[in-house]
This record gives sequence, C-alpha cells and structure tokens, in this order.
Amino acid sequence: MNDDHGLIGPYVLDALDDTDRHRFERHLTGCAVCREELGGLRATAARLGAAAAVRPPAALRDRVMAETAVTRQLPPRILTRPRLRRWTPPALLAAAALIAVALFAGVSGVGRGPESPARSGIDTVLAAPDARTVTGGLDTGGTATVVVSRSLDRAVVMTSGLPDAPHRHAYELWLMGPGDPRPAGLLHDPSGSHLMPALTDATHLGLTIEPDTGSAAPTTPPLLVLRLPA
Amino acid sequence: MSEPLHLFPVPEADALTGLVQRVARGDRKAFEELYGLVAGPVYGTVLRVVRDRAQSEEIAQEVLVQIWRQAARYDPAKGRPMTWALTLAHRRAVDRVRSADAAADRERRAHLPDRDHDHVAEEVEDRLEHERVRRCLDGLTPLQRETVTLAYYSGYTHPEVAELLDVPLGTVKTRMRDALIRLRDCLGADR
Repeated sequence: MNDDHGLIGPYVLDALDDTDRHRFERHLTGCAVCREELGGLRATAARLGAAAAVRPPAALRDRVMAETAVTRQLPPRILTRPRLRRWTPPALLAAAALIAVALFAGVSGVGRGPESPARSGIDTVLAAPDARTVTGGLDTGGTATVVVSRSLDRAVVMTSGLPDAPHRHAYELWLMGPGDPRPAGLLHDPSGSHLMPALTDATHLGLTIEPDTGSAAPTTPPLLVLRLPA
Repeated sequence: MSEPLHLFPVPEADALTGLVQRVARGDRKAFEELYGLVAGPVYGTVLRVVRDRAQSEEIAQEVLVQIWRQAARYDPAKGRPMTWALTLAHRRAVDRVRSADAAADRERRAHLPDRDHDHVAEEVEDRLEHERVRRCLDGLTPLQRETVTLAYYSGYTHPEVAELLDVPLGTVKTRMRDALIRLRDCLGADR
C-alpha cells in the first residue's frame, strides 16, 4: 500500500480536491485490490446517505417525470467488443504487426530461445492455415489479441499496454467452456506472447488479476472475456 | 451460445438492478418505481450537504434525470444501484457547495445552527436504516466519527477537516479509512 492508497478514505467521502481525486483515480486503474476495497467502502458511504433519506416534495417527482419524458437516454457503452475477424489481408497485417512487436519485445511464456518448444509452438499457431484472431480492449487499459487454431487445438495470447498488476499479483488467463474455468497460465510480462494449453471445448478466454502464485479458480471479476472463434 | 460469465463470482443482483435494466430500455413504469425507491435517499443525501431546500431539490432533480439518462451505463460489477445513485448525488452536492459562487453561502452555512438529527429525524424516510447507521457511527472513536461526518454530511475536504479538528492531514486520511472499514463491518455493507 503506497501513499496514494491512503487517499481511499477521503476519496470515498468526496473529500479530495480535483487534483488529488485524479491522482487517486490514476492509482485505481492499476490496482485491482484497491478497486475491490473501493466497492465495499463506497457502499458504506452510500449507507450514510441512505440513512439521511427524506421524503422529497411531490413537485420534485412531477419535474423529474416531465424532464425525463423529453430527455433522450444514452446508449450502452460497449466496453469490450471482441472483434471476430476473418483472416483477411488488413487483419493479417495487423496481426503481423503485433507479432513483430511481440518478437521484438521478447517473448514471454514458457520459453525464450528461438529454438524453444514454446517459441516454435507460438510460431506454429501463428502460421496455421486456419488461424483466426480476436482482439479486445481491457476496461483498465491495454489490449489482448488471441490467435486461435482449432486444427492445432491451441491458441496464442498477445497482450500489450496492460497496466502493471498490483504487488504480488499477476494476470491469469482462463479457458471457459461448459465446465468450470480452467487456468491457462499467468502473464508475467504485461506485453508479450503466451502459448495456451489445449483448448478442447473452450468457447471463451477470460483474464483476471490473481495472486502471483496463480489461482485454481478465478477469485476476481474478469477484466476481459473474449469469445474464441469456433 | 450462452455467455459463461456466470462462472465468475459476481455481486448478487438486488431488486433495484432489475429496475435499472428496465429503465435502460426506456421503461417509464420501471423509472417511476425506481424513483419511488431512490428519490428519498438522493434528496436526503443532497439536503444534508447543501442544507438549502430549493438548491437541494434542483440537484436531486439533476441526479434523478442523470439516472434516467445513464441507466444503460450502470455497471452492476461496480456496486449496487443505490450505491451508484447516492455516489452521483453526493458528488454533485459536494461540487455545488465547493463551487466558487457558493463560497459566500458556505461561509453563512458554517454559522447556521445545525439542522441535524432532531429536525431531520421528523421526516426521515427509513427510520430503521437511520437508527442502524447512527448506532454504527456511535461505535466509532470520536475522531473517526467526526472525520466521516464532517466530510460526508458537511462536504468538507480532508484538509478542511484536518484544520477544523486541529489534527495532521495524515491522521485524517487514516481515520477516514479506518472509520469506513469499521462502519462497513458494523453495517455488513457488501458493495
């Protein structure tokens, strides 16, 4: 817990000025533990408000109903839209660029050397004739691209720009299908490539923050869920 | 194909969540029901901070219209609808009392007799909730209680609270967090 985290009390009580408020909100985006604590503390502050509930004048209801009758509602925000792409030339170029970045940045995952099984496994998936890509953005920043080869029953996840996981925590991948989510590896490098275990009947990929030793089942809400191409 | 999102632990939906989802689809009847449940807490929260009834009604109206407009943007993963509504209400109330043109009013407000429990209690909507929260506030240390009530109910910033109580800023920050944690445990508030 660093100094910024100490601002959580005044933040929840709306007792920060704009500068500190923004500072704390920046801190929050990279701190899943803080967001977890924030949920409970915010609900608590709301109880202070609920305890002060007072029956409003009837005229308020009339004004609210009149104003909302002529107020357009905002559409839902599409936070995570997995873009299912065919293996078309623009998609190919985009994937090639990502792969080039991943190669240049150094590949994380099981192995590192160019001859390692993981490296060749990644290359094999990326070069598979039936390889398909899906990309999604995280609410908290950064993107994840999955290249899936159903004929090989394997997938490669490439991430970029993910905020650092909190101290002693890491991003964990999940394969989700008819049964419980299966752990599919920890991302120790927030920008790199990761070869996933056999997909079998997995239909979705999930990403959560977990203790850096990994979890057997997800313990936090998913930051991203991507539908895997069939 | 169904989304297997339910495999992850997500906060339990309460009755309000379903209403907000219907409001998001433009359901007027659902909005009227929702109004019945949140207008009192919204108006009361704002009134505690702002004090002035006319201004409080104006702000409550803005918040309730905002709930109508933004219903589709409500994210259950971030908290219950009541928490969402009261977070919006409190933020707006605080912004109002802090805005420059309210500076003079605020000076006056500081010298007004505190229209606190005795007066407001006569019209409190949910006496049970009021008593429960009051009991939990009583369980705090005096310093914890004062930091929370001066910030939440009076709308002061944490440096202002430090000044009023004549304690270091760092102490105020930690007391606010400690107080909220104790209140959370006392109230059994879960998100």
